[in-house]
Amino acid sequence: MSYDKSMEELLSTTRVLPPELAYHEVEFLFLNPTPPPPARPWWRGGYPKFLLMSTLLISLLAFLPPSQTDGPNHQLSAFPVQEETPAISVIEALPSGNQLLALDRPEVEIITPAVLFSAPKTRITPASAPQKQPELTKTPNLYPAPSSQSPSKTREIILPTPLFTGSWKQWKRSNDFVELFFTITTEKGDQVCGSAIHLTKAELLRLKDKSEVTIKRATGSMILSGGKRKGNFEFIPNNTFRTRLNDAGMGDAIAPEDALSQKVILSPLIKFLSMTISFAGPERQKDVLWLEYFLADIDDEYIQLLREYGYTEAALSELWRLAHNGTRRVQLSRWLSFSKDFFSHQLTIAQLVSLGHPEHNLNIRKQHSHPPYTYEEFKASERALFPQLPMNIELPLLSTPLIKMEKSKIPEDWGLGKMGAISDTLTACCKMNVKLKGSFRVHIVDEARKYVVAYGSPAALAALKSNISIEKMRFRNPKKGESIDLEISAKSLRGMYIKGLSQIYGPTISLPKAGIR
Amino acid sequence: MPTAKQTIFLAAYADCHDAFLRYCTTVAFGKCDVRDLVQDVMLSTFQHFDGIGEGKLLHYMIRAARNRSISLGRARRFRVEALEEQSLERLRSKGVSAETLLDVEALYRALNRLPEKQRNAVILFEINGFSIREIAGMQSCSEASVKMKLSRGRKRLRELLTDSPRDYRKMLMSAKTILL
Repeated sequence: MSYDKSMEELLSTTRVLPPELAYHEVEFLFLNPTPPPPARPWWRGGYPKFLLMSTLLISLLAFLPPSQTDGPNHQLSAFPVQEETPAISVIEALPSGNQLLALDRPEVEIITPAVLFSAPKTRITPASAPQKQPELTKTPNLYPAPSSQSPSKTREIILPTPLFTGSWKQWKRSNDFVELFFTITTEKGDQVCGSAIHLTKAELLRLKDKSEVTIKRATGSMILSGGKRKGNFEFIPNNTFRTRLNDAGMGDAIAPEDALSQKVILSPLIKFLSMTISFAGPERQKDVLWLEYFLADIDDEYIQLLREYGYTEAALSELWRLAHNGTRRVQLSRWLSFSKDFFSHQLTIAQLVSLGHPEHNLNIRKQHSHPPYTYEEFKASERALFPQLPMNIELPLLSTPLIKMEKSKIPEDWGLGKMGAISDTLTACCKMNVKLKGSFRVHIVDEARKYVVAYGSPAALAALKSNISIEKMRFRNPKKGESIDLEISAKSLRGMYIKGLSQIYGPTISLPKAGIR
Repeated sequence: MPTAKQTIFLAAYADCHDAFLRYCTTVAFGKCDVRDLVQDVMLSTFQHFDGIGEGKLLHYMIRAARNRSISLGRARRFRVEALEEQSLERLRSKGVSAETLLDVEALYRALNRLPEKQRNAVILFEINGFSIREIAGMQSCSEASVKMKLSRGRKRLRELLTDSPRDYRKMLMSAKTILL
């Protein structure tokens, strides 16, 4: 049944309806507010009702008869319970033998098979049931049958063995990369490796949000777990890519045996001083080098870039130098572009690495000299253009940015291959490499530094190790001719006091304010 | 004597009176007493009067009335008939004819059976005469959403008014109340 007026008519009627309260009534209500009703006592509210109802419910549940599901369900059970028939009582209830002649027949012994408790009971199948299961026609097996050893549907995923495990700690972070400080756990103990790993924005976000992040590169995967700033890591190499590079003569197998043996990381503050000298052990040099391949993010595009600049397969056998130097593709692209403009011939990868960051002084170079150079001419012009550099640029294996150093107190007998007494303080605020020769004593002023990487022969490093205190490194070099390369971290170095008979080949630093005082 | 702030508030309220009362009458029908609703909203609005922007008073009061009517309706849901009669009686005292009151009652009851969002949109648009943009601003939603609520609300309201069986006993009782 419908209302006799349409909706529109009703709405229009309502629109012209006078307000239920006049303005003066509202004004009165506003100015003379009714006091709120007194709060009801607790026994007038819902609390007693709740108590009563819950008591009733509990008592009702307590007196309920047990449900039928508590007992055995004969229909559903695979092993139905044999109900005990009251045989004796039935016999007693039977009428006498005179009335039931059928019972006078000789007794037939019924042999029932013994039923084991564990075995299912045989059931008599109805006559209508098929006597035999029809044989299924065999169809070609398209999919392999699941093995009997693993009946579960979930497949067991076996992860490859990680090459390195350990802990990581966030050291420095910017918008596009995060620098992680790795502590690698080996059989010999914990080893320290400070390395910058560049992450994409997505990886950075995941590192911020999630507890576990997998950094996938062509060379392998690094699983960072733990938290935002520190945690554990596992490095799983991509063995396929590794084998392919080694077969092509560009992998870590090509590197010389002593490529990494001279590397030691000393961290006075964190007291890693007495740790094993060799980094991860000499037997794992190749693995360490492959980790450096990963950190430098070497992949097919990286190699293709080198090929585009004319590097042949033979030249690419020194690819490990770029990996060891931590040269990323962006940096490599700049170097290659620079070398193409400034050199008359193609530089080898070793020469390329030794250039450091030549583009820093590009403007000065363009003003004073004219390319193209040979490598030797370039080195000579560098000395001519930057005479303040008190060095013979023999960069250590891990090269650092090229420099603009200000000359201040430099002893006359100091520098360029001459032995001399040094009592000086090096100040800088970025990464710095120092090559020391002879006996010396190093006092690092900056207390905030994290570690120092030293390179040298095993004998020299062993001597250095035995004379290290928290902030001082005393090095009595048994062989005067041997040298030690020190790499001081970029952020930490503010002052380094060196005293002794030594020789500094080149603090290789790039900031204008850096200098020797 | 009202204070200066109360005077200012009442002066600002005077412009909103008709629309606000029409809305309150509709949403309070069968749910709560209009006097209680209006008083609560007025006092609440007066407390926050300093923070309400210029020209936003009516919107604020309507939002407050909507929320308050829901709260009051929950507390007094067992007194529906008495509240309806009270409301109709008050309208009759304002000179509304019995036939109009029957129409109004039928409409308000049908409106009360609508879902809350649709009901609110229909009341604001059809009875109060707000634009869709204003309703969207009040309800903090998009205009398309308001249009959808309106469309569905109208459709449902039409169904309720045309097809639903009516409660004759209630209608007779209310007519008796009005006529006597």
